[in-house]
Amino acid sequence: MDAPAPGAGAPSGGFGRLSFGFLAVSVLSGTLLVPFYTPAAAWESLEKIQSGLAWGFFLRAVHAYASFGVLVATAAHAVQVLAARTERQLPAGVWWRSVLLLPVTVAALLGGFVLRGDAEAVAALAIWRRILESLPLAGAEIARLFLGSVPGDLGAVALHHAGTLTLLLWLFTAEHAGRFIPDARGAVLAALVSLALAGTVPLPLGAPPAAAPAHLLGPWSLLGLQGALGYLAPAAGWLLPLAFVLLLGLVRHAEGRVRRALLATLAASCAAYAFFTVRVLLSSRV
Amino acid sequence: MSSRRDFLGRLWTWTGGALAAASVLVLFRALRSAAPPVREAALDAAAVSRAVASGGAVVGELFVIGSAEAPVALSLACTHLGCRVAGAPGGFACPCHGSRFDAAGGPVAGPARSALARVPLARRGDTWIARL
Amino acid sequence: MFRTFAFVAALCAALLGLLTAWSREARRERAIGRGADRAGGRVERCVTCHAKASEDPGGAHARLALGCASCHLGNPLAFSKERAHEGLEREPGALATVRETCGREGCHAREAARVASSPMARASGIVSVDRFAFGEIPSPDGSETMTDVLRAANPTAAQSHLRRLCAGCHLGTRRVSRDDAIHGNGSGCSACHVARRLPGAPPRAHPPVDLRVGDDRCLGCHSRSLRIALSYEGLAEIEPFQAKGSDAACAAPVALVALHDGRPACRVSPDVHREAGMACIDCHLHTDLMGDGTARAHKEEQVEVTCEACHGPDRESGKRACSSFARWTLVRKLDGVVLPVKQTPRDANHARKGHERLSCSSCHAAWVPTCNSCHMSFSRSRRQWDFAAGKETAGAWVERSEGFSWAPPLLGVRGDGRIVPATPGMILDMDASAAGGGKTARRLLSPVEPHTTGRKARTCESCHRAPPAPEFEGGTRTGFRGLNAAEKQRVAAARLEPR
Repeated sequence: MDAPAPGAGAPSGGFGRLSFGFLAVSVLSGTLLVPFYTPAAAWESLEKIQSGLAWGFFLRAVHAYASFGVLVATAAHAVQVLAARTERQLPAGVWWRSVLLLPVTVAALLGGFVLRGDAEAVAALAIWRRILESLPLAGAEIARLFLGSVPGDLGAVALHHAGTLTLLLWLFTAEHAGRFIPDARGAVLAALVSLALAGTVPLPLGAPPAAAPAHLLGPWSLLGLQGALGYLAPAAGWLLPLAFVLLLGLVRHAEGRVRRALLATLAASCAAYAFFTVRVLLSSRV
Repeated sequence: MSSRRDFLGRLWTWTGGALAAASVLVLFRALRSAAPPVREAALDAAAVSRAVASGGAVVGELFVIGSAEAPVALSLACTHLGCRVAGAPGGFACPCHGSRFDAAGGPVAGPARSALARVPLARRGDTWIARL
Repeated sequence: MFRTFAFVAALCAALLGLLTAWSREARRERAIGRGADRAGGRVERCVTCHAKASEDPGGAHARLALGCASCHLGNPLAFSKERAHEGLEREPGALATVRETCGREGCHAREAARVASSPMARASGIVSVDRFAFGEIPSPDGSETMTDVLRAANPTAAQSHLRRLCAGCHLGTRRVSRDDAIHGNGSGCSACHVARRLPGAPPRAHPPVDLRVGDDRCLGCHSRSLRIALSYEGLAEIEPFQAKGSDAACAAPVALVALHDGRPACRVSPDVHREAGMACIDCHLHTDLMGDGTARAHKEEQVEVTCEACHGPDRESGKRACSSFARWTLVRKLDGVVLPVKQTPRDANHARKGHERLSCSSCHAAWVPTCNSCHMSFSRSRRQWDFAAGKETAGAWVERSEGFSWAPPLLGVRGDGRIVPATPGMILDMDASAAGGGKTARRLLSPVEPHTTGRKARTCESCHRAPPAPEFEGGTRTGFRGLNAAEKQRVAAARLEPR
């Protein structure tokens, strides 16, 4: 904690505080869901939580919307920082670990999606495994490390989602923010937004895992990549995110024209990503 | 003296590095040996002959075509990225990235490049055993 | 300023969210806490959504007695609609799943086994006569069933005809909807024991499941082919073009009526049993309708009830349809009214020389519907419902006639020598070339039990002095024929004594 991020009042801090607040709400609600969830009977657990547990549907929705909020707020915070050019206020190591928050958050969201255990989740897990297996040298072993040795078994995914990734998110965020827990304003605002969304926009239960999914829709944050994978080799599944993270991290070390070029590339890839996302959404309505 | 402190410091660093490398190697070996074993799935013979008689149907997690004496089981995992394919007019369609296969499992359209895997079936009593 | 506004907005949104979630939770608790999810001693969650009184069939099959899943299968312990409705059987009684629904062990297993061999399930008579008329098989007494026709890989012309126009009236067909006159037939046990939807009933109302099989349930199928159910009511179907114009067959409002599915019919004279308030099931008992385990070629071989059973002369079988301790009464099944049963008088009319071979209805049937000019062809360009595919497909069988009529029945001779009423059965010319068949013309005579018993028997002159009947090439049963020349000679030359 030798060089904490700018404190309250700084223009690039608002969404960051909100993101930390969402993380706290997500971790709390996720912990409350633990007694009712069994990875080996994932869909049945979801069914029980959704219909057979008092306020179960609401707790699940709070967890989901708070997790989405982490990603959205982190991304907005990144845009804020890059626009205000305040990235150099962080030491290089802290900056790179903060940049890593984005892919780790997406991995946590993907894990949460897969843990639902419905037909789409089964398909998403298969795709995830194949992408990891396409890593050079030790692809199959890396896939087993993060997704488990038995295809279709959700135990490893659950442990990494609740344990490894949550710890990483918390540690990196705490290091970046200079405090272990979110400040009151961020936490309360995040809680209010999560409660509002969870109550008014219900989350449905997915189709049982036995059948093929009608179409794969979700997780929403990875729809763009899914659209691109229809045209690119499976290795694009890890190459593109890796490239994006590297470019984003390098912005701190570049200036002038190089910095502008990097930002332009990042913006263009975000636009392409949005395009593919919309395309997948539209084609699923057919 | 400083040279001994330097030496000890470097020894700590190198030992730490060696331990890290060793554990990575051990982990790698462990993960490599954790390849899932060949799994056997039993398909009821009556269900298989019903599937074959109706021109092909899903039995368990496989799609069975062929004849009653020599049924052929197709794996329903898309050869692109592994999603479960669904039946479609003329064959199969994968809902994830739009790959399409014909009735025998050959790739017709989309990013899939190879045919649906054929799983060998062996008769054992009144069940067919599939080695997955 | 903005921050305060944003905070207040978020607070209001959160309150709204909490209230919405609270109402949803209350609804969920109400649904699950209904307490009536014990059905037949088992927990079933179907009532979480299906709790209305109109969704309970009542009677012996009430929800509290049997629950829902005993008949409708599915997954009664699931919380979500998708899981609960997995494997759901919307039409319990459909023969495809009857062994798990009505015919499960402990319920109606014996009946379900028998129904499979009954004429209504097999329809082998319809199939064989049709294929015989098309010239595809040598005799009309085959054992091919309607299920075989529906499953045939390359249907012949007759099988295509049956699949489109006849296969709906077969217990193995699954009902498409409960209030459709044509597609509402079938579904095994439900065809008779579960009513059609009554007009004005709410869409989700569960019909009663009982033994009160009213004539309206027979009407769906038996108002077709030989029109037995219509004749019993005293209605003779006519073609639409006969309903209007100067040579209309009969006129509204007295005589011209519209049937349940819109076809026009003329009011002639109902059967006396109908006038006495008897329903079809008052004569046609359990084994007539549901079979007895033995598959028979034609329906009349399955029917056990005879006129003599109730009206005498004394026979062993009289004990079943009539009350056993007073042999001359009948108790109506639908309303319990007791009817006296007139016994056959022992008089000259019933002991005439030369009438020994006549059946009761040869004299007592008032009329039969006649259609003797059918033109059938197959059109590839039109579309028609195909019961094998379960939807409309390309190709249609088109049937036209020059009009239907009604007349006192002809007489024919059965293979065992008995003389029974007959009607032109297959008088048609057919062009099946577009369906893989040929061009044929048939003139076949069909035995019929007219179900138009009149108060008075027909006059002697109506047979003995009638104009000669047309010639037929054969009958729709092996050995069935019209009167031959010698018999006609004897009939025309008979001396008529006073009645």
